[in-house]
Amino acid sequence: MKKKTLLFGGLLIAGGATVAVRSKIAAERKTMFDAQRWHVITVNRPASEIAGTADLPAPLLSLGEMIEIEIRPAPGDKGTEIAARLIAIEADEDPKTALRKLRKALRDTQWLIETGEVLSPDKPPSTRTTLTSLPIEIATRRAKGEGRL
Amino acid sequence: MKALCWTGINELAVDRVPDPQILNDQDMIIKVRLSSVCGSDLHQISGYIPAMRSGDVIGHEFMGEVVEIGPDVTKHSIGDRVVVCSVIACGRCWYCENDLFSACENGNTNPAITEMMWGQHPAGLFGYSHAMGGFKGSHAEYVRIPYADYIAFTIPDEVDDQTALFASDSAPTGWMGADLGGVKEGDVVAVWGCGAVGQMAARAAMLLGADRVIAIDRFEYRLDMMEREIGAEVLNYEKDDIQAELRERSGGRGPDVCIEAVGLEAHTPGLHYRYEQLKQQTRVLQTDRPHALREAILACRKGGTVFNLGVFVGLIDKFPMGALMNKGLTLRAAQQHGERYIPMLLERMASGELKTAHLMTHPMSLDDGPEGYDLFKNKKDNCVRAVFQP
Repeated sequence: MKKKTLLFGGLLIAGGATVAVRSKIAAERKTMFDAQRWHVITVNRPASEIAGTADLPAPLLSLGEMIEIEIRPAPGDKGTEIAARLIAIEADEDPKTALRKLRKALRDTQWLIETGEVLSPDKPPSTRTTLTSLPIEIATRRAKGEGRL
Repeated sequence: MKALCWTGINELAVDRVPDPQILNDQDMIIKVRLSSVCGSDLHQISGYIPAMRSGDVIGHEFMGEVVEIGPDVTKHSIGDRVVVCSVIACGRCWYCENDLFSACENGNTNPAITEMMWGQHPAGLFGYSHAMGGFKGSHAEYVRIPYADYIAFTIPDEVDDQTALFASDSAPTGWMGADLGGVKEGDVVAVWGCGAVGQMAARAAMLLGADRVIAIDRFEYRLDMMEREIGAEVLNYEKDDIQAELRERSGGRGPDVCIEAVGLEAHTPGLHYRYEQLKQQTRVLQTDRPHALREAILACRKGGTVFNLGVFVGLIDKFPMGALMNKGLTLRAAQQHGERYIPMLLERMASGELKTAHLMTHPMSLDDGPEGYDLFKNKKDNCVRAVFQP
């Protein structure tokens, strides 16, 4: 009986470890795919107003050689598509961090082109940190760098 | 300043919070004169909106007086009396230019949370959780108004504060249901919910030419108000057979347009309600209770339209997709595109065509905020709307 319990426990731990490792590998693979794919925004301006990368605001330009940019008219008079992807991540940089920088730069670019400024969240905050609010705090801190952009 | 804060599930407190500041050049600050409770606040208070933090200032239906303006605000001056749309929209993105203000690209400072939940992010909302931007709400002495030229509207002199207040949210939400539901001359329209939004939807349907408007609720005082103030026919779902009554009153066809103004905490008689509530409490089997939406889909005539105005946040169980598909229905929904309607609604209020002041059944001090929500949530003292005067 004791042997069976030990065997079952061992199998459970081994199975759990396998699932954890496979999940981690899958997550890392997804990050790599996401880091390599084009991330695109559509801004409500005619393509004639954004002829080249020189017309883009600072947040995207500041990423310099790290990214490749494509600009094209959006179909159906929906404005201009600005696509960017990471092409050179510095050796010591985590791809996830680089991806967050790109997403944030794209979001800020849309704000600047369409409204002239980046909308600030309300501050100072009136909220208190509680155990249950921690996931929301983390999500809020990373809000512009995460998501499905 | 003083503000009414959410401090935990079913817990509210009047607290001191930092004064708002001009943070963007297009911001302004208003001194709140009136701020109303709303049925959708109850979902936050009860813990059905997952992105709340202790200390969040709630409230999103309000009007007040401009006290400070940013350098890029051109349409408002200090001292102006304004009503502010609950939806924070930039007015310049593709969605705003196409009158889909609650889908604004630039109103939500926390876009990732809703992108993960819903695929894309909607606009920001005042006092409506960190998923909608985490903006402080209007149950406070002062509020920061982003994109002030686009979301705040000067109130005509002929419109008093109590009337103008409801141009912030209830009236445009109700109007949107009738307008985007496609109500036209001769239609039979059914409205689920006789709160402020339901009443406004019924009135909008009448003004758009509906032949009959039938409203459904279970509280007699709300049904009485709907009948008396709006002039709609009423049905009590605890006493009447809603499906049979609606067929009988629409020549056997069913209503042309069905407007759901209830949302995720809908009630229904019998044990079925307990079963639905139990599933909702798990937050896994379903997060929202869709009784009114199901009823609307079942009642609607073939080829008709169902418009969902009530707030839903997540997943529902047993959605009647078979009825929707086989009857060829159109299902539409949205958070309100208020900026599209508010100027027109203020004109209608000024002409006396749209009356709203009766909705404010309980004017109260902001200090009585928790009591106001208790009256409102538990339907005490015939409360339709508690309105705070900071």
